[in-house]
Amino acid sequence: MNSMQIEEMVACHECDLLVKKRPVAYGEKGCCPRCGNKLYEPKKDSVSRCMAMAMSGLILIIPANFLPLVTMELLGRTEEDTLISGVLALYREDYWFVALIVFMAGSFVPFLKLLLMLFVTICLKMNLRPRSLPWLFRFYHEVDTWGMLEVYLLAILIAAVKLLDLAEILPGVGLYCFVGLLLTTILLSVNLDEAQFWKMIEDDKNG
Amino acid sequence: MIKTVKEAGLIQCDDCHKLLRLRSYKKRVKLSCPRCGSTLHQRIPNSLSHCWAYLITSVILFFPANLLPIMTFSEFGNGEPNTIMSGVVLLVEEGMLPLGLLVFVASILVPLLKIIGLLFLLLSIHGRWNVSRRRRMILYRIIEFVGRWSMLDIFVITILVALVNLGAIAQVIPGVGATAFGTVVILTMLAAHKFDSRLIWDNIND
Repeated sequence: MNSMQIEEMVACHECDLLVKKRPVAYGEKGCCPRCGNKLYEPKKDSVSRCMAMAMSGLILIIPANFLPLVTMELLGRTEEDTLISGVLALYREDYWFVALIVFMAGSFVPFLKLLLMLFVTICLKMNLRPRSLPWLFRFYHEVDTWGMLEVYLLAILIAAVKLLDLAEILPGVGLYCFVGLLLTTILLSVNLDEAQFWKMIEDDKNG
Repeated sequence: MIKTVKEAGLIQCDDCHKLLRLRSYKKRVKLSCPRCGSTLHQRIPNSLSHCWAYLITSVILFFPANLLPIMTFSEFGNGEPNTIMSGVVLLVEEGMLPLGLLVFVASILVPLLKIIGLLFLLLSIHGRWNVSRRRRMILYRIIEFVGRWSMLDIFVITILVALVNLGAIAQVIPGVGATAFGTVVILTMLAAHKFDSRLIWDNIND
């Protein structure tokens, strides 16, 4: 197989099947005929949209982490819970490993992902080609699994319902920011066209 | 004739999915992708051994995770340490059946089925079992997708510990089971991550 032929092929990374590339329009996707895995799905304005989402996400992530998600009122006392205060509370109880997991999945990885995405998209937009660019985008993909904002949101709901009998539970400002943050990260991953990103990174290298 | 990347004498980058011609691929020689710099390999090296290691560790930790208390909820000084299961029972007794069911599925059923599912996948590859590859692939995708949701209970504990901190009136204290449980979730996620699904489809002509 020569390099021209290789360019026309696409590999399924879940079952290793070699498939001939077919042009698809925006909104369509190509799937592996053997295992059904998504092979390619071109997205419109992927870089710009991802940059926009990364920016809004980075703005929202600060209040989402530090402003109260829920407040509890009981016998005249008010207690607040933020993403960070939960981590600190566990740490104070000497559960540093659980605190680390929660910090990673709830705060740090989502933040890192947005930061990496912003950097990569700015580089692509401005035709900058730092040598670390491929590494950073690879790293984005690597940490992707470990951000668990959507699980955290469900946990907030469950904790709130559990405490309903005991006290009055009110949503805080942080919760709205948190939901906004979750929406931007979902929109980001929906609009991310990795194949296009890699192609652009590669073209940068050559040209 | 269906041809795979391996059979065509090509190699694909695991990270950026670039297809490359394989000129001098030898097992011991480290090749890296010209596009993204990641180390190239046709199958994740020692995928099954790594998967076994993570899986066995998570099976061992599965017991303390479920038998030891994950938290103590005390109101006015009364309160017993709760394990995951007793927490579910408590929710159901208080009339919150859907919620109890949700926690039961996320915290007990999912980790258990994940471990069993991965065991099945590993054994089916080792023993070359004649089970539908497509179905095994669906199983693998489900395992990969649901893994993260088991972290639910850990987050609930975090929120409760931070929120319910009223000294003698009401307090939530985490328990040792929480550490074990969090570790089980991480380990099963790593096991699924290390499992190379392409192994399911290898030797298709045997």
